[in-house]
Amino acid sequence: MTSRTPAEGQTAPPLLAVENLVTAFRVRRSGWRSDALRAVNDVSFALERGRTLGLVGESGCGKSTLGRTILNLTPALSGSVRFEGVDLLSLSGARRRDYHRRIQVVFQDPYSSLDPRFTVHDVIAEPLHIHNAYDPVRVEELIRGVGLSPSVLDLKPAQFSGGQRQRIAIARALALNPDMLILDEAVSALDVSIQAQVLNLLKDLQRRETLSYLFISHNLGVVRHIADDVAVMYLGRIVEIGPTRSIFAHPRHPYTRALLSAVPAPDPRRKTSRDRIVLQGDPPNPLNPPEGCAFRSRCYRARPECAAAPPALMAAPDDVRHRAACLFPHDDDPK
Amino acid sequence: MAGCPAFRRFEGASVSDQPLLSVRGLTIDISTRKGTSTAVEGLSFELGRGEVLGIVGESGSGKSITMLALMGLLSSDSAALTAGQITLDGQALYSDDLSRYRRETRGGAMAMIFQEPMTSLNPVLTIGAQIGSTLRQHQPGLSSADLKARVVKLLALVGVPEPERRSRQYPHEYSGGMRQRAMIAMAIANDPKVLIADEPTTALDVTVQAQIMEVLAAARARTGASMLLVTHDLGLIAENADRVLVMYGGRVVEQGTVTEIFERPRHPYTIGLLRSLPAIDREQASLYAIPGQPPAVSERPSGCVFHPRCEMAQGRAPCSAERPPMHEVVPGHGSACHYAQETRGWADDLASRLVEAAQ
Repeated sequence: MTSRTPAEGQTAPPLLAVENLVTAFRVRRSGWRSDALRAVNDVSFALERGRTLGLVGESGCGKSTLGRTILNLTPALSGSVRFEGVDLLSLSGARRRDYHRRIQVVFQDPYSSLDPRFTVHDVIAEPLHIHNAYDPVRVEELIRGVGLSPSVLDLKPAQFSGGQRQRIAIARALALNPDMLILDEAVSALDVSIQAQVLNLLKDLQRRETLSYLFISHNLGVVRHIADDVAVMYLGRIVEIGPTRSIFAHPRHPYTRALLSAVPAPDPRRKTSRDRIVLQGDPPNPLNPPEGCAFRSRCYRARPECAAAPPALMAAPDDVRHRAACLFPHDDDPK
Repeated sequence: MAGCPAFRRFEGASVSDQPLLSVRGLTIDISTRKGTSTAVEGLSFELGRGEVLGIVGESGSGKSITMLALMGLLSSDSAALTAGQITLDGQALYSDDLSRYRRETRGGAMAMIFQEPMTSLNPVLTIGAQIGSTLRQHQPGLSSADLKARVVKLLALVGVPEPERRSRQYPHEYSGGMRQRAMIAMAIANDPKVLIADEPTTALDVTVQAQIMEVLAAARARTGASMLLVTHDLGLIAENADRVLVMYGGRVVEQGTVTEIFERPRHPYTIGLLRSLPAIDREQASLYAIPGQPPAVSERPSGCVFHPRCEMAQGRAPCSAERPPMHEVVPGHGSACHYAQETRGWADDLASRLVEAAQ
């Protein structure tokens, strides 16, 4: 295994390093003409072992496509996805399969992601069969690990509630001892009391098995609770990334600030005291994003300079890990 | 909006003895292949003039079916109102003639905003035609020119840009947020006394949700309408409601002012629910996970519907045997718990356990 990232010198590469990743879709316009939609545009980030990166943004920002591209379910146009330093996009055949065993996924909808004709046992055993590692004891261990009794193994998914199905989906994802889970809105369809059960389970599993999570969600409260770091996406690009505490306490990008202020807090005393930034209009058409900074059409701080080029991610004056892609970030505000 | 007859002046929440809307002992049975079960059992509440009553509960708690019943939208072969009385402005509604109720009240004195505007708008009619038909239903004398002018005014009021042009567009030409604005325009078209908003922003992104809640507040300020705000989002309730009903298993388990419910909850379910919510505005200890699952409609337990999941029950006989009445813990704040007086202690104990668990 040769290191192709000389900038990192002697240190071990992170578990997952995504660099300048671009994913584009052809969208037919009329006849033979089509437009390129850059759903993921020049995205870079790293995820260390045992850590959780929360990926937040509104619908259509490209967060799910980014997850799918890392899993190779959607082809990348350019860039790299390195797992322990090895570029997954350049692998093929058995080697690629072997690496993808180590990155598993849990989707939002536990009603459509489990085969209704399979028993719970078959759902969990399927990945083991594919990798010639079937062991009935392992299946029992997995179902216990997600807090269900082995007596449910003969039932079919339809006999379970949403929270229980999501536990089954997590057991299946863990079957092959992955290093990393991509959780794509994995708790979004669940009621609050059940959501808390699944979040607590995910935290336990992470501690027990040193798992890394890429936690994709539109729910900022959930992300604050589970993530060590957060990346905020807008129209295909990461506009802000950094430690969770710092992003939530001092958002630097105007979009992050608007997004956080828009979430209603379950505290009636706060409703009069806070200043909410209500953005005007809808997110622009991703086929025809504004020149320069894609957020400038809705931004309350935009100036003519913002139209020149998409701003690069720049570190905060007091924290190199907290970076925002804005020419006029909120750095001067009192903290 | 001077001269616009659609809106009467709003004089603030009047302190009237008589509630605007009163619901007493509402019971709804639903029939499935497995037989008949009771989805909502003896639900009672009142809505004051100009008031926003938040109704919160998880899926299956009966909150949406209650709203459908209020609107006369229960389909008669699968769900039926078996008991209860609904009074709007002192007048009993819904007693015998359902079709008259639908014709005269729905879209007039009571109007509803649904969760998913794409499925509740008609895809083959223009937005303008749909708002127009609501107006015409209750004001048959309107001339075509007046109708058009009113539609454009309504769209402008809810912040649809270029309302003249956009009134001629179809729902698919609107974004999700714009469709929800059109839906609000339709709901307030006949100057309703009660607006029912059932998960009005659940399908929308959070920045658009903030816009829509502002539009709703402006529309209410203009018409003086009271609102039933049904949502699973406790944050939305905290910010917009004056009073709250907490529903679980087809019953109201707690009710009170928004401050009482969020700061001094007195039912173990409400306490657990608030402790299971990841906070966005502060660092948090561990999340409390209420054990078990909410019961299916056909398998609701005896006694207190929450007792199998309740840590305070501890096998005590009344919890599984008797349905708890609503105890008034302080004036205006009720808790349907046999041991409501013990809840403060349990809540404090839970809070310290969660802090310990995080360390």
